[in-house]
Amino acid sequence: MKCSLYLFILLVAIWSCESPADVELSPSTPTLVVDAFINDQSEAQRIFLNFSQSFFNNDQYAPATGATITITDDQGNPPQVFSETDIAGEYMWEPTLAQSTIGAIGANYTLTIDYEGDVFTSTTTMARTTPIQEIEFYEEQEPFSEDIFYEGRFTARDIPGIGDAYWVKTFWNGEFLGDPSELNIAFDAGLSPGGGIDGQEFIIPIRSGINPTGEDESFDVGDVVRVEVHSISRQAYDYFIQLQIQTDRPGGFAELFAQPLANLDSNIQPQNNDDTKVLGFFSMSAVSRMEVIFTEDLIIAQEE
Amino acid sequence: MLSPSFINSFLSPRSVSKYAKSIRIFSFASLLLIISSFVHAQDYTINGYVKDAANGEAMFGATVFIKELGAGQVTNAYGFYSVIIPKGVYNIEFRFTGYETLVKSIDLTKNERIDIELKEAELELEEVVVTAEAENANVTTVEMSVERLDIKTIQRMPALLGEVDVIRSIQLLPGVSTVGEGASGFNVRGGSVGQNLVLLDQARVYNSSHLFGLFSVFNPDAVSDVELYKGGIPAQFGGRIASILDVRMKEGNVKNFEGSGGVGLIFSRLAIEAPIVKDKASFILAARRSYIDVVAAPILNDERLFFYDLTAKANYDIDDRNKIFLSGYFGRDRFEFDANQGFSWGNQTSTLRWNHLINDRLFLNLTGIYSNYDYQLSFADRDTDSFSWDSDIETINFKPEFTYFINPKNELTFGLDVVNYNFAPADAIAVSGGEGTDIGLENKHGFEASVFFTNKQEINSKLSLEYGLRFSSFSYLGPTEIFEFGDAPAGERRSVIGQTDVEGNDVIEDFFNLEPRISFRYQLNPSASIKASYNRMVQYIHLLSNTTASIPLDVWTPSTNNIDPQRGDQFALGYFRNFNNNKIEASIEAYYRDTRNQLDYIDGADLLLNRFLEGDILSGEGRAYGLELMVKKNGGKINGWASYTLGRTELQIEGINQGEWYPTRFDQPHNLKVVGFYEMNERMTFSTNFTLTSGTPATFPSSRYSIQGFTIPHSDQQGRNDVRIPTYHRLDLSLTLYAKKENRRGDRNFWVFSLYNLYARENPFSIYFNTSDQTPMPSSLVNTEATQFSVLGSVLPSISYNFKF
Repeated sequence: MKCSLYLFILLVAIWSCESPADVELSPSTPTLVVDAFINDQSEAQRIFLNFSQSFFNNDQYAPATGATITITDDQGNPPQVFSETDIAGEYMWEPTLAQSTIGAIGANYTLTIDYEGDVFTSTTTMARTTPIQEIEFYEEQEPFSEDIFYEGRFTARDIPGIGDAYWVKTFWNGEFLGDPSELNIAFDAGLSPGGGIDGQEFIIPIRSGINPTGEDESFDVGDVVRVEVHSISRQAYDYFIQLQIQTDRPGGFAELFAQPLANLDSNIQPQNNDDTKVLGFFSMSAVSRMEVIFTEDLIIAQEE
Repeated sequence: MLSPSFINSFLSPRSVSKYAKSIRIFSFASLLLIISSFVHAQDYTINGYVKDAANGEAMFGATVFIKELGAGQVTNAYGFYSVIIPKGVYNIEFRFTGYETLVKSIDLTKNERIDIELKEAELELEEVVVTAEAENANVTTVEMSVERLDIKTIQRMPALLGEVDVIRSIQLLPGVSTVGEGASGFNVRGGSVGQNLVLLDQARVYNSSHLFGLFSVFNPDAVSDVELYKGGIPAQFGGRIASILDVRMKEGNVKNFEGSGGVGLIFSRLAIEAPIVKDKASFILAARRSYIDVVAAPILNDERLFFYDLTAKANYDIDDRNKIFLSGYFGRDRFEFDANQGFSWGNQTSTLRWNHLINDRLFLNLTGIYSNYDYQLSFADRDTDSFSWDSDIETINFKPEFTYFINPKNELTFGLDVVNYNFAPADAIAVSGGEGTDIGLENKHGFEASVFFTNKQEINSKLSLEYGLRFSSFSYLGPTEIFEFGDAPAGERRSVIGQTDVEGNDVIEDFFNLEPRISFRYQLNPSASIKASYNRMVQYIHLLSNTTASIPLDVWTPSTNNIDPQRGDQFALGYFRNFNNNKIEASIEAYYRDTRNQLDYIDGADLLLNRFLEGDILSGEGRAYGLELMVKKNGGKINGWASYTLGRTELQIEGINQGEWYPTRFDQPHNLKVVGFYEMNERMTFSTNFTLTSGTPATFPSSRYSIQGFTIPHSDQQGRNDVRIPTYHRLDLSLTLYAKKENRRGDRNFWVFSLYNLYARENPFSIYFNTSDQTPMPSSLVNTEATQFSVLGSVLPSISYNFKF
């Protein structure tokens, strides 16, 4: 039982409360899940094939082994083959001298998966990305206290022209910040297509969206911080926004303003039979990166 | 607060041309009326106002009963009555529950004006009911599906944190529910929050909440009474499909200076009312402010967090035939993090009203209303980065309403209702790295004009009717930008295929609707009747919200070339029966409402700051039906009511729940409320309420899978709201303790002690699913969890002190 005294907005002491719920869920049917996020870097690229499982099942996902996976493009390159590794369900492509990367900006790519005779395909385009100019650390004051902490910010500009989307990934001392609340998705320089903020520096929520969100977590001097800007398609943008709504459930009073649970739309299509269920997503990204070691000279002091 | 644009908007060419159509119909109706007024010239009229002797407040719903004829009338919202009867000698009774009955004898040989002041009964309430003639209005009037609460009843109920609240009180009535504690607004007979028209002295209140939804904006010190129309809605009301909440403000004491106030846990309140010219003119001024920020000042830096409201009204009795009123409300919630950053929202309304007796039988209520709801959001970070967003909806409303007392058997009300809307969804600027971008949205304009009539007719002693018609029109007007959207698979975002800039005041889209309203009552015997009603309601503006509870940022948007008006047809049937000399009122009502053009949203819809939001909106049908049972005991040391509602509310929208019917988020099949008062003695009153409702529907996942390390919940059934969270129940208790000493007017100061959620039940607001923060076991996946969130997890004691001077 975790009941706590929340200091709700107005400092009105209201006893809200959270406790584990014992709920019975509908039965789950294992469904093939394709996790295929490929980038244009000359490094190992991985695709994962697993099966979904009952929501409360914390065992490792059942892998889908023995599949053949290729990515083809419309540039005349030979099909790139992803081969099974020692880890069940993991398929990998490694750069060679002849083919050091997969992916060119503007090219179209088709993923083809043959799993036990069922064929699945997905097509996407690799969009353009934008370079990172700097990463700095701003001295900030904790709300309602005198404590100081550092907020990391990167600087980059959206490329002029409506319709660019980016997934900003941060690695803190080598570890990917992968909490749903740390997901940082941009549409042009802003957060969403309806806003129309284009061709300028990313707005503050994106520039400062590279920080860890865990309790008492923040960057400190000596940390290694790497920021990557992955270009994503419009479809991938919608997918990530949905993913964020569905997974970023901090609880508490945010529940008053939560949206209903809904399934994410996959961009993988079954080819043999339309009724074959498949989940997951195929995305091709161009990546720009910057890595810094947090030193004193990267600190921007507080304004007086 | 009446802005100059009030006048301008009525003089603009577009308004005038829009008027013309309605005015033609209207003048025709007036003509008919003038002709008919000559028909019964041999009868005489007795009319006047019924007022409270203590303070001169108009008494709405007082009975004027002519003993010799065994017939009578009920005073209108302004305390006015007019009866037309033949020459003769009569004894006329003026009655109101809790007041001494007054009898006037009259030899009627000419038209008479009789203004009456009724005195509050000195005796305890239970004795009043015994001595005064008991009322049976609930059985005898044509009205059904209407709930009326006076402020005295509301003030006696146990309240959250001791703060008397109008909206929370009406949630204890049959057919009214809420999605949970802390959610703003209320749901009536399965309608959404945005389907209620909330009026404060006839002015539209677009957001009735302080602090997101814990308290409502109505200051109880300034409220006289509250009426909720759930069905059988008369033709003078329109614009929302579920209900009309009519909150009426006090007029101000015309006899004596009167002050009242209170200190509670949240608010401090102060109200003063006084005559300006004795028995002629008076005012009331009531203010509230939350004060926790004052108390907490030592621990705050630049943060300022508070909310307040100011309610005022003045009235002037010019002469026997003319009365004017001016009332206003101004309230705001402010959350300021520092000088440059914050969030605030609030309503402002002002109402100017003229009551005019054109002749002995024709009563005019002419109202001009200004209403505005706005919010402001701003963030700033050093000089180079900022974000600001202002939004508002402004309406100017003009409503002449005539009541014509044709003869004792017919009372005709007719008029015009003209509303000019200006929607400014976003005036927004984002500055990033020193460069600013205007990310605002184009303003939208709408003009709603309606003409209506409704007649209350007594066919014979058993059968009474009220029938009417409202002809409403809405025009979506330029200048603005409009979009055309392409097709998309059901439930997915439609993308823009065409964009047009509309210049000037061109009409982009026009809608016309006839809204018939009819109710009848058949009296089975003096203590039992059957009532039935049908009404069609059309709603031209929509509250867009895809979150569990409505938030202050939710956007009101007009019907456009892409959004059709909502329409609701409701049928209701009821049986009303009083027992024990009207001490016990019982009723059972069944209703069915069929609704069209109901809005829902695509998954991941972006409703804020989105130029293309119409592409994220889905529309379909809805249905709501139910049975409401109510038993109410008036008078006696123990009184109160119990209500039970059995109801469903569902939507069918292409693209959601695979096109099948699904329950709305506030669907609660069972809803039981018990409200009890025990008047122990002169100084002590206990009150209690008990609430038991079905858990609200929710969507639960069945499966999990992982994408890029994110654990994603998935429902194999792809259902929507197909499971329910646990049942909600709660008991509250409060004790009102009056001071020994009375002040010069006989009022006593009092303490209110209350215990909210007495047995500390953790009632679920929702159950959500996410992953645990804990590091998983080796070779295991990150743990998934289901968590129940309760807004209140324990008993909430409170205390408040209320004084009068």
